[in-house]
Amino acid sequence: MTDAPAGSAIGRYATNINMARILLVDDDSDFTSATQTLLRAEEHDVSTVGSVAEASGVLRREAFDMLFVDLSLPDGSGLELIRDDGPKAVIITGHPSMESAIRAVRGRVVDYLVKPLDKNQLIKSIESAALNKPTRRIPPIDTIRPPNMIGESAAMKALMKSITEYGPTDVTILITGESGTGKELVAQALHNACNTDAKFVPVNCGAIPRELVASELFGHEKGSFTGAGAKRVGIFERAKNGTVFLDEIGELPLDQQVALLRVLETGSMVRVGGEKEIPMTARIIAATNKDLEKEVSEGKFREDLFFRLMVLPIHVAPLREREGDIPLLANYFLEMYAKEHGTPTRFSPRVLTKLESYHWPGNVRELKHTVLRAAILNRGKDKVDTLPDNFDRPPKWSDDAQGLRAGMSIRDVEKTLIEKTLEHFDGNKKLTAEALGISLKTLYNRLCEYEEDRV
Amino acid sequence: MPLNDSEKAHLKDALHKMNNALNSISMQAELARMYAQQDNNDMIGEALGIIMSQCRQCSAITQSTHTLLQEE
Repeated sequence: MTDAPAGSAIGRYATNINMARILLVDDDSDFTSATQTLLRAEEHDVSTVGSVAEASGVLRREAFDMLFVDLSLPDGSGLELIRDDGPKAVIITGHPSMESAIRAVRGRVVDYLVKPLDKNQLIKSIESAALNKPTRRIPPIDTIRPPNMIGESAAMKALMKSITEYGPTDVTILITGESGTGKELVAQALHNACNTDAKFVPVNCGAIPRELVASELFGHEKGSFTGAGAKRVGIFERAKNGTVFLDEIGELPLDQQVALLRVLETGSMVRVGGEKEIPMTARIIAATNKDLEKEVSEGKFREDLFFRLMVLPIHVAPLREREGDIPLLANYFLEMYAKEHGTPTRFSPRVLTKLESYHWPGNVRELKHTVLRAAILNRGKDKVDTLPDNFDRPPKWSDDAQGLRAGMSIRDVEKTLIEKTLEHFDGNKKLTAEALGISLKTLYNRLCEYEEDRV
Repeated sequence: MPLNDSEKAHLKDALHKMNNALNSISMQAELARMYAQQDNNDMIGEALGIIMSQCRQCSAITQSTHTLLQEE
């Protein structure tokens, strides 16, 4: 065992984050010596050992505030060192496996870090322990899974396994999957698995005007640009210790990709027009329906950011690959709409078979809208026995984004989208608003604006 | 063709070693950055020496894995 610095007292417990007494257990001496030096520079008192046997001896003789322990040691598992009456522990491992994640949450584990590590991850873990945050435990599966995340298929089980595995870590996650597969629900479940009261902040990168992206994400100082009349705190700061969900990450402009990479690598950010480094304490989960590897090869997405986000990838399967989930989802949505609109509560077997045999290119979102339309169409009946005529014919503009072209203003794109959706739903404003994810009032306001423009 | 148990064990071990080497590289790079801020060139050199040695270790691991896959 290496010597602790002079002045360290056995039995002294940290009272602030600058004075933690740490035992680092790992058999890689290059890693332990570097980490010891780095943490000592942060005024922590660090001792290192390389095996379970050595660590057990040291822990019997001395008191520590924290234990950083590698899961895989030459003479056994680091988990053997974690005791309910022992120091708070951070598990370090190269393999974020389900089994180790679940076993790791027993005892006094405050964090779970996946190699390769960086200094900021270690510092964040020490801060978590010193600030006496509640021990991070994986909550029961029912509390992780959002109520509308339905499915029992093999693909869904594999997805839930990844969520329980990766959720309790602080690692950046990239969720991939087709449009409408429920990537935001997966992000929400990952956040829930952190067992935190902190916020979940979803951001659609494609919906923020290009010139405002930096200000929205990082905030800005008063007077930093025309229109910046007051200081604004950005999304990353507002999320504090929570999760920022960056949906449609592939839409992030290249210059902001550089800024995001910097935040991920340094763990800090600077507001637009500011100079002060602000610590980034939120976790980032990103999602895309694009093939980011292709975007990288075409120079549209930065390779370094791609690899930084790909630390833990999660793929959400399309609905057509989720065998057995269509009836479960359809019945769930039907019951939900029955409560809201007094529509039928069950499907006829013929209709369910039809729903199951369709390939659902728009995935769960398309199924949900179809169920709503079918429910309204069959209002007054005891069951849904007919489906909308065009349910299995995707809107003709969906494949080639007919009417949309590069360089159009956001307002024109919105107008085209609203008009096409209204046309698809045969002028039904309620269904149109539901499909677009906006309120009926917003839809009426937009239609009035378009009418005024025409006049 | 699927890997047999011995090949799987080799790959698992190779990945474990590779991860450990990358972990050392990451922390030694952090150390080098800290020494750079302190203008401590001797210690920067030492950290870079370890990084280079770990890179050689990674190279040996990838070569042994490559050989295994070629034998496949």
